[in-house]
Amino acid sequence: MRIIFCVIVVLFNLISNLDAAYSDNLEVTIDVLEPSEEPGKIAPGIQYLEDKINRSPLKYQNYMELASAFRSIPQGETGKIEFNLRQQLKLEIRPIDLGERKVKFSLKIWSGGSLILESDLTLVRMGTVMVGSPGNPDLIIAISEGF
Amino acid sequence: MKNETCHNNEVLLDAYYDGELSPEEAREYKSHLDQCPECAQTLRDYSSISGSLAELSRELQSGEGISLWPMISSRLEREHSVRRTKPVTRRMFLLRRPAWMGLALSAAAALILFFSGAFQSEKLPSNFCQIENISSPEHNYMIYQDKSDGLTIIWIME
Repeated sequence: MRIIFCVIVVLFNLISNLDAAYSDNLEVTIDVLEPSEEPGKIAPGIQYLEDKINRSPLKYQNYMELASAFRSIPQGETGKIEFNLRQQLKLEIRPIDLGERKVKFSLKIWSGGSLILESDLTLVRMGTVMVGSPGNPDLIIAISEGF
Repeated sequence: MKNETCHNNEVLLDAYYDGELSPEEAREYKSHLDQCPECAQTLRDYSSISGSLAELSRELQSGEGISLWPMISSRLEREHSVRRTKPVTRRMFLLRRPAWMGLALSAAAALILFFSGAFQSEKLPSNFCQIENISSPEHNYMIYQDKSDGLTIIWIME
């Protein structure tokens, strides 16, 4: 009976260690897109977003890639990303919990110096979340895990 | 009291009882029995003993009313009950499998459960996103979540 109990404990340890064996850093790719009504092909750098955008309610004719950044942010630290575009964008990303299948992080976005979004998100590994930033024109910030 | 002639006639009595005398000798001895109560009683004893033996013989053949039957019956019952307990003995043997067999079965079951994904939670959509909390101090916002792949769009409005 004790041996069976030990086997069960070992199996549960294996399961829980799968999370711990994953990267200790939150690796994120941030793409800033400018939607437009001008017909054209989607930029090669953001083709991985094409299918997601096409299935979304966003019905723009085209999307230009204005900027892109990649960060590997250790847990407990805050990654800061700034884009000097027509409207200055600043992002702060702080990992909260990095699991095997999901990551939880804090996200803050400033546009033109004012805080426009403060949120805690849990995102599936290799998943994408998009934020539409108001402006002229509007901007779309795609935050993807693991690219 | 037996007389002298009766003493000699015991041989005759046996022969008479066994039917070995000639009809003439049998008649003569019969007349003796009528006059000799002792020989007549002896003959009755012979008959009684013979009758009892015949009855015992019948009982032995039929198997009824003799003291051996309960003993034999109880012995048969014991043997029958022993036969009935044999399968239980076999089951008990199965229950007393080696300890490693139980461990191996348990480990195999656990591994099957583990690799079949029984311990894993359900599959998440490819863009699953859960908004734990959200605020936008100066703007309204709208949230879109795709039902199929979970793609989430947070649209901040002017």
